[in-house]
Amino acid sequence: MNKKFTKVQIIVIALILILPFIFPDPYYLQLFSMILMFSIYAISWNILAYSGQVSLGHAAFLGIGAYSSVLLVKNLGLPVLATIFIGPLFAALIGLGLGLLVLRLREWFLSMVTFGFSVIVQAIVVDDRMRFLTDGWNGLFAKPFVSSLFPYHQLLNYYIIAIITIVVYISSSLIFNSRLGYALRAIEENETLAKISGINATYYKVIAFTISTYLAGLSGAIYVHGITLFVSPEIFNIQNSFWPLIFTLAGGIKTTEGPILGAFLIWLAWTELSRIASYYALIGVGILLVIIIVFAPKGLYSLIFKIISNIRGKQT
Amino acid sequence: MEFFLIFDPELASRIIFWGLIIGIIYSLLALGLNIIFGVMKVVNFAHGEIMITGAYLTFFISSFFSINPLFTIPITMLVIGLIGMGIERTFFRPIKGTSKLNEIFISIALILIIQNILAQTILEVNKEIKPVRITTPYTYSFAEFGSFRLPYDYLIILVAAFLFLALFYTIIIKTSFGRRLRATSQNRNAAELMGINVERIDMISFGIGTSLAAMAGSFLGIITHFDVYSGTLPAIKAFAIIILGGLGSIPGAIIGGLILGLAENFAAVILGGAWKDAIAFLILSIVLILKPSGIFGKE
Repeated sequence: MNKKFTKVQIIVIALILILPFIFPDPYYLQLFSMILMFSIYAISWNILAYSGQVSLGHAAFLGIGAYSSVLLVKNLGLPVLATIFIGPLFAALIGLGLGLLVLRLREWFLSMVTFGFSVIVQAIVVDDRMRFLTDGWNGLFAKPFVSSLFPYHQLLNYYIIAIITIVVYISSSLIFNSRLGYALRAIEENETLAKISGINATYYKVIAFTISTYLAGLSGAIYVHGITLFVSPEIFNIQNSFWPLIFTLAGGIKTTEGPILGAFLIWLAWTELSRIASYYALIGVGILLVIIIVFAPKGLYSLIFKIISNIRGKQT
Repeated sequence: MEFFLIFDPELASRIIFWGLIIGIIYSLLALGLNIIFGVMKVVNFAHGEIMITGAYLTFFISSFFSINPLFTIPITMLVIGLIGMGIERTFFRPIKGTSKLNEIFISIALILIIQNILAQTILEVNKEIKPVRITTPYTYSFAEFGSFRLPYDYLIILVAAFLFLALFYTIIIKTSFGRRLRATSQNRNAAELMGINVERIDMISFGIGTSLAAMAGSFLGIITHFDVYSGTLPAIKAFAIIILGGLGSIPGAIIGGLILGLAENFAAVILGGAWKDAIAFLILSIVLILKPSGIFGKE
């Protein structure tokens, strides 16, 4: 790992930790918790995209993680801080299975099957025969991380999410710079060539699928226990499958910071403009997305780096 | 058991008829997507939003001038086709060749833009946003076959759609324009070397695809209520259809659409309403997992 890389990491971590002091308002704490949750979600999607597998149905795993965690608390009485890590294991198990099934599919076909998977999971969750467990469209209440009777519970809640996000962020950069990361990059570039070079493509692709779906499940569990305190089949909606793609591509795909940057900027623009409560604002977000992708086809993160290196280049 | 209900002839014929009418809408959607995909290799996830724009346009033109909506559909198709060409020019051409993911990204942005432009427009015209339905002079009249009542609108739509599809197929197969379009679809570089302006073919095929979506939307609006958000999922199902029916294949898209319409309605009765949307993807997943290159794909 080179030195410049660590500098960026320190800045990101420091920003995540000091945000509540800059904006102490509970509204902003909630907003930033949401952004951190979406960052984990986008990082999970990015890890899968790193292996060249584009999922358009990550909401399936977001929802499975959320439902498993809520059901573990509700039926077994486990503490929330344990279930948010145990629940996603179920998402990862299903992810492992799906990853094995879709191994041979080409890019478009893989995207469509994953998209379909989220629709199928939603159908299973709302099916009458599952009502005893999931209560259909009514949804279930989720226990919060920190009881609202506790002093500073919102701040505590934010820091729990922040620490998990930092751990996920650092792990993702470790993954990208590890043997696994290099293997995934080689597979994404040219699968046949990677296989010839002795990389077990099947193994690494399934590993990427499993890690990615675990993290998606984790973000789902955080979403319901830390932010909405409620889970319903709406979690499997199309928008939730599209968000990680939007965040990651806007921020910069295949970079560790891109998904966080994208989640931060896009979600901030989305919520702040939605508050104006006008459809014009959302048209604006759409146009903003078009402008980003036309002028920064590799994402905003690389654009920032280009600008910085340009400024430096002129100075020397 | 619900399963045995489908042996009831009256219910079965109702399911089949309703399935065909929804199926023809899927066929038109899938056909439009397939033309665009065949020529440009672009997947436009905002196809459903374009369909809904077409539905609203027919709704507003026909109710504003009180004309029979069946006669305003050609106008809608022309307008939406021109809008589609504009969309291709302003949104898809600038990012052409950057990456497949950027195309998905831009079509999601397009979903956002179209949905909210529609919502804002409807709010200003109608003062409220609620699902609407296009009414025709025959909305409340039925052809009676014993106890089975068949709305005239459905018969008109079925006949009109099949006539249109036959005409469309002839144009693509017989005319010089159709040949140029198919040539671009088969081999873009070779077509360009033969003196075909492929960029113009791109734009025209996008226009044709969107005008087919507008037709689908107008029919959808006649048979059921719709709102700004009801287009997204049908368009993605239409993409599942063209994967199963063969990328670029016209008969595949039409037959696939009809089969999906039937499958959805049977699934809703046999498996339960929740499975209506899932059945398309269940079939797609099973087929692709068994044969990863698709039904008509080459290994």
